[in-house]
Amino acid sequence: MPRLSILTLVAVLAAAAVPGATVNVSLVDAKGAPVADAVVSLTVAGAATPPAAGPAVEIVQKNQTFIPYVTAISVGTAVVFPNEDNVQHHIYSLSKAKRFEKPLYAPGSRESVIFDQPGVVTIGCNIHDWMVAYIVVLPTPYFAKTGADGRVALAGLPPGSFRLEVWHPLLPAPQDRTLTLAADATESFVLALKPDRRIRRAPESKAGGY
Amino acid sequence: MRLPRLVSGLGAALAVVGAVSAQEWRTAFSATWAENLSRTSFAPDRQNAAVYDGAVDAVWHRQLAPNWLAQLQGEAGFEQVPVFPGLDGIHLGARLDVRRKFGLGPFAPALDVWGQAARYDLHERDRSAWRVDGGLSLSQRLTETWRASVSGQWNEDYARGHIFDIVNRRISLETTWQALERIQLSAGASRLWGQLTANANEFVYYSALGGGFGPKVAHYYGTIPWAESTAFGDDWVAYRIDCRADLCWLGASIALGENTSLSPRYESARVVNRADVTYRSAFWSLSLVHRF
Repeated sequence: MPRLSILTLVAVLAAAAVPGATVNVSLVDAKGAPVADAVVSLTVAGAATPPAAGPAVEIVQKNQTFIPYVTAISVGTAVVFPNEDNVQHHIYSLSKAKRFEKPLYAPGSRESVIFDQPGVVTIGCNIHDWMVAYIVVLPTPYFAKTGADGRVALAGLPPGSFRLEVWHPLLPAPQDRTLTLAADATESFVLALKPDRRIRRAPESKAGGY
Repeated sequence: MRLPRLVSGLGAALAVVGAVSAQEWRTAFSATWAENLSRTSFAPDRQNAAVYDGAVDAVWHRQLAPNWLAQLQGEAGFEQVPVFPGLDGIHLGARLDVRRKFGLGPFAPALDVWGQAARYDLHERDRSAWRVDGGLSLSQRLTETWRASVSGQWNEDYARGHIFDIVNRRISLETTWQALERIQLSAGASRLWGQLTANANEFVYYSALGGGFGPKVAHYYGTIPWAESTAFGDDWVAYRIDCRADLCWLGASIALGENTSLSPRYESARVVNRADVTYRSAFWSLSLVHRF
């Protein structure tokens, strides 16, 4: 093999082996407790090309609840909504990023919706008002959702300038920072969350017996 | 207590059908301290008592069209008044509710039209009755935490003893505020028109008939049906009045979990009959509701 080709191959393999930078983000609330179900995303500054759609994801209707509560996807990804309850649902979204409605959604149904615009989409059930879920549709492949520990690690990032954004259902507005990456980085946020005033699910007692 | 054959048969049928196909079960138990449970006008004779009741509901619901939902509910329950066992009883009934929602989302107004029929069997058998109710309710969520409703209801009892045959109707306003994540407060008021049954000690009732409470009362009491009733004592009578009633209530509902709540409630009632005789009652209750 000519020497030039060997050198080229070594250079390519070396480049592939470089993992890229990792950004570790930790989120706590005003009391210092970890914040779960927050979406952390990194968008390349000035990027015009949307990322490729990810594989389809599921939001299950089970026990009259949407599971998971928060889902993050890239633009163009399909979300499947299996109804695993023994009752009908009527799922809908009134959000600008995606309006849709699936009435008479019988147990066992399984339809998908493609989310083709970035933004936050709130999903509800018109029969069970307490059912709510959020889909965060992102124009970037670099995102993750915090777990119970309030942490995420976004790996494989190329060097460059990014906008780091944090979204949470109880955050009055998303928080963002500009980040210039040359190596691994650690970021932390203290989030001032609104009180959780989700529509209550617990049953109500009947009126008095007069 | 002897269970009438019809009630026990229907109960068994409901249990079997429900166990097979109910989409949801609910149970509710409550303890109530009732001031003037006897609905007695003469203050010294008013009878207070603790009332315990419980019920099990089997629920089916089906969306008929995009904004139309039907809900069918079967209920079996009991009432127990240890101090006045004549009021102990069981009931079995069914309710159909059709809801039309005007739009999508929790802020869309909803109109409910419902009807129910139930059989109440009480230890004092003349009080046993078929109860038929119907009504409609318009509800609207005003903010994420604030909800209001206005409703109208019609009620008719076909009792074994004709004194206990009553017809009345009411309108109600209620508002609910979710004060904290787990605590919801509610307040409401109702105006009722029509018939109710009241009770009195024989001596007091005969005094009223004889003019002891004035000619207006004597005249009115001479025109209304009455009968002996042992529910509140051996020398008591029950009588049917035409009246209007003002009810108001305050309540809280504490979510103990996603499917369980504990609800303290206070309700006050002021009933005025056609002879301007007033009956005041108050009810303090604590209810536990669980959905399976």
